[in-house]
Amino acid sequence: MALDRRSFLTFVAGGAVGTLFTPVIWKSIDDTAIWTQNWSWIPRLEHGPKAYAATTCKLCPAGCGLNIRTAGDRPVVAEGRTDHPLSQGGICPLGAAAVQMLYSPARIKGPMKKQADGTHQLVSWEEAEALLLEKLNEAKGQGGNVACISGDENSTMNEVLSGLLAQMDSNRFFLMPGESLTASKAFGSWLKQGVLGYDLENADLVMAFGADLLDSWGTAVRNKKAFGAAHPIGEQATTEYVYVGPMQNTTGAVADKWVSVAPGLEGVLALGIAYHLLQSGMIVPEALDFSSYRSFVLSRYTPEYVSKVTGLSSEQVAELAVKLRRANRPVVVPGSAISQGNGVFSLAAVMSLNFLLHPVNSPGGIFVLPDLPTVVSEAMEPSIIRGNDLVSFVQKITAGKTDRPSVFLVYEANPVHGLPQAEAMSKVFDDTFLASFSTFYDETAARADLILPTPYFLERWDDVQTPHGAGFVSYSVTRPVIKPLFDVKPAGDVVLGVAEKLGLDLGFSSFEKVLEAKTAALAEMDGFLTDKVQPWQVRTGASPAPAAGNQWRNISRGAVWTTAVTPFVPAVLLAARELSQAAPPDVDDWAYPVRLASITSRAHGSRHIAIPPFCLPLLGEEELQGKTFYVRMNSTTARNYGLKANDRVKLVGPGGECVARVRIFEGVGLNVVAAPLGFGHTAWDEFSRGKGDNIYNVLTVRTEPGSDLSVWADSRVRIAKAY
Amino acid sequence: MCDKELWPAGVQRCSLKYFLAWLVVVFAVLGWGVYAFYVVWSSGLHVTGMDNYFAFGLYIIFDLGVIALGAGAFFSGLLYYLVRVEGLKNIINLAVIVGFICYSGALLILALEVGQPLRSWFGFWHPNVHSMLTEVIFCITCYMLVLTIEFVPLILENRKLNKIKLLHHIAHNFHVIMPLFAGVGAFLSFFHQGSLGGMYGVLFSRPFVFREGFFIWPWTFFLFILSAVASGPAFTMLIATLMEKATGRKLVDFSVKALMGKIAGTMLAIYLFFKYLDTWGWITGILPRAGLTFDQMYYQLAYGKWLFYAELGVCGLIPAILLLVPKTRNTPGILYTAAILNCIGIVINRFVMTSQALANPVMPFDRWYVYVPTWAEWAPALAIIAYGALVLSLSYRYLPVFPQERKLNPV
Amino acid sequence: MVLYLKEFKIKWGMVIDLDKCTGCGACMVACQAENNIAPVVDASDKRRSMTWLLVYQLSNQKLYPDHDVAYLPRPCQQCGHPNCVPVCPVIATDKNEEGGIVSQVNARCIGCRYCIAACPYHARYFNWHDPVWPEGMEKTLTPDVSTRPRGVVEKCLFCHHRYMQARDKARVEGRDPNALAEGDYIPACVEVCPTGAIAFGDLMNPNHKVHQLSKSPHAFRLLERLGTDPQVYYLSRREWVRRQGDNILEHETVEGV
Ligand SMILES: Nc1nc2c(c(=O)[nH]1)N[C@H]1C(S)=C(S)[C@@H](COP(=O)(O)OP(=O)(O)OC[C@H]3O[C@@H](n4cnc5c(=O)[nH]c(N)nc54)[C@H](O)[C@@H]3O)O[C@H]1N2
Ligand SMILES: Nc1nc2c(c(=O)[nH]1)N[C@H]1C(S)=C(S)[C@@H](COP(=O)(O)OP(=O)(O)OC[C@H]3O[C@@H](n4cnc5c(=O)[nH]c(N)nc54)[C@H](O)[C@@H]3O)O[C@H]1N2
Ligand code: SF4
Ligand code: SF4
Ligand code: SF4
Ligand code: SF4
Ligand code: SF4
Ligand SMILES: [Mo]
Repeated sequence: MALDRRSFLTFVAGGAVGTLFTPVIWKSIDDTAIWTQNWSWIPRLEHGPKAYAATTCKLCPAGCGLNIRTAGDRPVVAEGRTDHPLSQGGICPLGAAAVQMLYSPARIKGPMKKQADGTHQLVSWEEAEALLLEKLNEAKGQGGNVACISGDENSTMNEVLSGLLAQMDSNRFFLMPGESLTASKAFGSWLKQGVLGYDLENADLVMAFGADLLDSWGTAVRNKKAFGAAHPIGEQATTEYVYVGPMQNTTGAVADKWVSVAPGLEGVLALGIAYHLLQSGMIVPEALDFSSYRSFVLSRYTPEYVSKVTGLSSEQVAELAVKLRRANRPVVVPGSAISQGNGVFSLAAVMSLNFLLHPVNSPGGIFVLPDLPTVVSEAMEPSIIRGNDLVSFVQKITAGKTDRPSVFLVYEANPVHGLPQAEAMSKVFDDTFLASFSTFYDETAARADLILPTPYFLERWDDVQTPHGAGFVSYSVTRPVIKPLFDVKPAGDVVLGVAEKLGLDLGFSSFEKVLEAKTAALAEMDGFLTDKVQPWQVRTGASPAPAAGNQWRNISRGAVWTTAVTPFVPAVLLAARELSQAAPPDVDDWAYPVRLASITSRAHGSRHIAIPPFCLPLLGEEELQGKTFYVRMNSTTARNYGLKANDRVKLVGPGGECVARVRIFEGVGLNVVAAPLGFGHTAWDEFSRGKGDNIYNVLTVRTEPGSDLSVWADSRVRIAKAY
Repeated sequence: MCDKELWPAGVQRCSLKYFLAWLVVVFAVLGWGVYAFYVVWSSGLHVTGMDNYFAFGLYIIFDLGVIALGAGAFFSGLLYYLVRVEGLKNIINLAVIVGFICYSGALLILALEVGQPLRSWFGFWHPNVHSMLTEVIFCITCYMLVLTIEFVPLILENRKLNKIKLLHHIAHNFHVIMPLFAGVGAFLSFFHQGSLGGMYGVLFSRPFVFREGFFIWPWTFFLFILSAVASGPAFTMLIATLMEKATGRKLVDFSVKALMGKIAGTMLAIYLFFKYLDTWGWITGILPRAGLTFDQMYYQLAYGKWLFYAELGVCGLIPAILLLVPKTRNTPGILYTAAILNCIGIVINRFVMTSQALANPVMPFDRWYVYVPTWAEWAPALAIIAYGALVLSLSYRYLPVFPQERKLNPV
Repeated sequence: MVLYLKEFKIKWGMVIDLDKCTGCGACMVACQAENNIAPVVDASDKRRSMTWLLVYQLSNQKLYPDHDVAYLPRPCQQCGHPNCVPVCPVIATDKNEEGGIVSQVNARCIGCRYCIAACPYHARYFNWHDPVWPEGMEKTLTPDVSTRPRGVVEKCLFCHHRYMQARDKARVEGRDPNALAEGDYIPACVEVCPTGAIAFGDLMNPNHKVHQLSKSPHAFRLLERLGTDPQVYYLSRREWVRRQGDNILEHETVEGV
């Protein structure tokens, strides 16, 4: 049969009609549902068996236990570890975003060297390590010609770094400034064996002064767990939480009571309360300087005076004293809302309430938490490290009062962005060799001559020793859950390798071995693992089984070690001398009339981590709009400065300025402007770069009389409408 | 070059050069709209001003507006073919064309509006019988077919086409069965006009638009039908007048326009009677039951009370009176003004029912936002208007749209 | 308009204690990670960003120093009488499964957004953009929740996949999947919350904590008077917070202690 035009058309038409009666066409139409779902540019899910890997978070000092959920061998989600006393199943928003940060566009892909034109080029590890070796060799033996800044308060890495420095005759090892520095200046003279901790879990009244306990302060998640346990859902609270601070930050908003006090005046209020406690006959028998403390407080911090300075009524102050006296197990937590920059006056004044209320080491009060033994030879003692004041050091260098080291090693820290008066402070790195050990391309890495990328914490071995603000001693290990994605190397291994080539003996060939030794050294102390009994339960009578078996095996796989042993403290000092010398003056500063209440929130990242992609949606409409961020003030303050909601406002401090928009928020004290740290990044990635301004630039450092400590938690600014 | 052969017999048209120049203008606007279609389809709806608060925006407001204004087609058809209002014979063709333009334009915009245009047909395949939107999808699509069927015979009456025997017969036979389609069209139209209103009325979670009603139909169902038939005839009449102004020729007798005005006025009055009752019920019943007050329903300029008074007073009561009183209705200037106000009032109604309903915060801690359409929403809307101009221009030039034209413009 | 209503023997529900919520947002992050929501570079366009769970800040509207703040996490309320369901023209969302979770079938959704208009809680989100993960980050997608294309609506599903997993586990262990114990099925946001502000369970089951909690005199639901019958309850001892749960006329008082 010849196929003519007509029969061809008939065939085509017939075929077309025919197919309508088959499922083919209908099925394929229905399939649009599927293929309109699966465009090639939308990633498909990869399946794989579900498992968990326990590790410890390194994104902030709080040291939470994380359970990393894996699918196949891909980590997918971070969850809290129920068996870890510092997280108890919860985590903060930053920790919840931990897994995705593995793939942050800001990750450094390999060692990099700064070129003449200021850009960074990838180099081999051999070349990078050779350069580091060369620079350290030049500095070797010229005591202090090498300095180190560590952004990790809790890692045994500090032993490796400080050990290296010590063997190079340098004692210039610093932590990024935190509150343990203040505590060391206040109590270091009598408290050498450890730090003070707060037994929140057993308290029946928690009164926080400044410390943003329920967001970012200290053992943040553990604090929230303690708060949560004390506020059983749907039931009456068993422990009252009172926040004394400049604003309704997280703690101010959620605590059972908020008492508004301007930043820097918490200490005045505390001594005002102490006045009442002393009047009621309370004493501190073990304090050597109690009588001078007593007469100082009673003579100066009279109800009238305190009321005048703080703006609170005498009744309000007296009421707080009554609250504390009535409680059976009250604990008072001193601090600053940004966990840094507070003075000895504030800390010692607030802490003295604890000493008045109960002896050290009583349940529901404060405890001395012993430091863990060091293992790296010549590593600096933790108590020495805590007392090193980085900001004063930098100021001395820039003022020409001390010589500038030729090499700076910066480990997991971002001093270029995160020191007070950041812009001015970062000049300390001019004309030095700056080596940055960092996972992310932060401002310090961007400035560095040499970048030695560290594995992300989910790719490496590391550890967390008792974090600041804890209530008990703890030790847990961070372990790799995925092989490093990039050409990175553990900083510990790099330093140990370089040390060996320098002819120095730190005693270990790899950082993992250091950690193994550390866990072994814990055996010196009478400890236990927290799998059944939590450390705070021991204080109220529970008895744990002592740690047994292979310590490293257990701890390296997630077990948390702790001890209930507390060093014997024969006598304490209330820091009466420092209190009297450091007391804030009564006169107001008219050049910078507005008090700055800085905020730090885990929703914004942490000291060394810029806001992660997954946390951006947490910022409200009046926190960030496009590239502009907001500062908060109440309507009265705004009116006084001719400002309205959404106006652009300039904050000027003695050392720098920044621009923001105004958010009217009635939860901020009078004449106070509240502003978040953690914005204004210039490096990192598109998720955080260029958003908001850096409040560190307007923080102002002053030297506290009496303690010689650099202080900036009570910074002041000038504000005016910006055009 | 001349296209005179294609003109309807015995009428005068402008020169082809003029006509083409006009078409260039029309196509320029159309081109901009087509570009917007491309941008929206290729990059997504984020180029519009819509967001998670304003789930519906100008696309829907425009669609609701043109669908109401296009109601002249079904209502005139109903009155002419079924009720036998003979005077409408002279404008029924235009009513059908305007209806056709409005509905096809609305459907085009809808294809932009849905996030997954390739799945638009799911409404037929997986229909949810409880959804007013399902009703809308079915009725509008079917009514579009009816309008096409109504439009076809007119096209076939083109002088050249009509010479073809087959086409001539088709056109003739279509005319014979046209009352049937008018009936079907009226039925479908009642339902989708109603369902469009019903879409809002059933939103019991949005006290701004929620209405009780009859069986499954909230009052807005009926109010939308009434308001559509109140504005549709007025709009058709206005288009006829606009075409007269543009062409400089008389196309329909003023008595026909006045008749349309009378129909619109009557329906508007009936609509307003119920709308006032409904508004009263809303203010005294629905709002307090939701814990809200009348004042809380309005916000600043964009969603201010002026809209309320404009819709129900200036563009409601006033045109209704002007259209009902013979003296004012028979004065051309007043008739046109009243018709325009009438149409504006209905468009305001569709605007507030859509935009203000969504802007109005329901949760006490929520806040008002203001919706601002972007170019990607204006361009397609203008393109549909240009498309309407194109269809009307071609129809006027080549089809015997206006039976009275020859008589009214003696050579 | 009650034609489509079904009654359920199991009703999964939350009771969120607003006096415990610190507004930290860990739940929001956990939700994004669990449900494979792509991050966006500019999330400050709140009306276009995707937050199945959103924490609102409530203010008592008083001036300093009488000001007070509360945080209100808002997942989908899984309404017993959802307005979003009957309006959907294509049955892409439904409330038809034991447990009372309002479903969302992304492959069926045509993106008409009618359901968004219908939800008074702003719990529904349109995918305005194609989801894009920074290079490599797509490796962190969980295998449990499929990615969605641009142009569809999505919302919180009470981590429905976890419900399925809990049921499967119960079956494997020879337990009744329709009688899950408290804690067998816990959504990601509930699990992560560091203060334990969210209780989760079967509202119909007297052995589950939420059953009692939902009857607390401090309990309320959002916009209850509209009749949406949510399966999410809130708790607060503060009267001003409870007042903000619903629109209240000046002369009216809010129930509870
Ligand atoms: N130092 C030391 N070495 C030992 C031992 C010891 O006690 N101490 N014990 C020896 C013995 S007995 C054994 S059995 C072997 C065991 O040695 P390995 O098999 O290496 O076991 P682990 O070290 O527990 O885990 C290995 C890695 O898997 C990760 N991981 C855990 N869970 C998951 C998961 O679900 N998915 C993925 N992708 N990763 C996961 C962990 O974080 C860790 O990085 O070690 C031997 N070597
Ligand atoms: N928490 C936790 N538990 C685990 C694991 C984990 O990773 N974490 N891993 C699991 C695995 S993979 C394994 S293999 C098991 C291992 O579990 P165990 O077999 O309990 O292993 P170890 O903890 O090393 O404890 C062995 C004990 O033997 C002692 N010992 C050492 N050498 C000798 C010897 O020559 N003679 C005698 N008599 N005693 C000796 C050690 O001091 C120690 O007390 O643990 C399992 N359990
Ligand atoms: S609080 Fe700190 S340690 Fe804990 S999860 Fe968050 S970032 Fe990690
Ligand atoms: S995680 Fe808990 S405390 Fe934090 S915002 Fe969510 S519900 Fe509130
Ligand atoms: S909260 Fe909104 S989306 Fe969720 S069920 Fe209710 S109406 Fe639907
Ligand atoms: S957007 Fe999707 S789920 Fe919502 S009503 Fe339309 S089709 Fe249904
Ligand atoms: S229940 Fe699951 S889907 Fe819903 S908000 Fe919580 S985490 Fe997100
Ligand atoms: Mo093993």
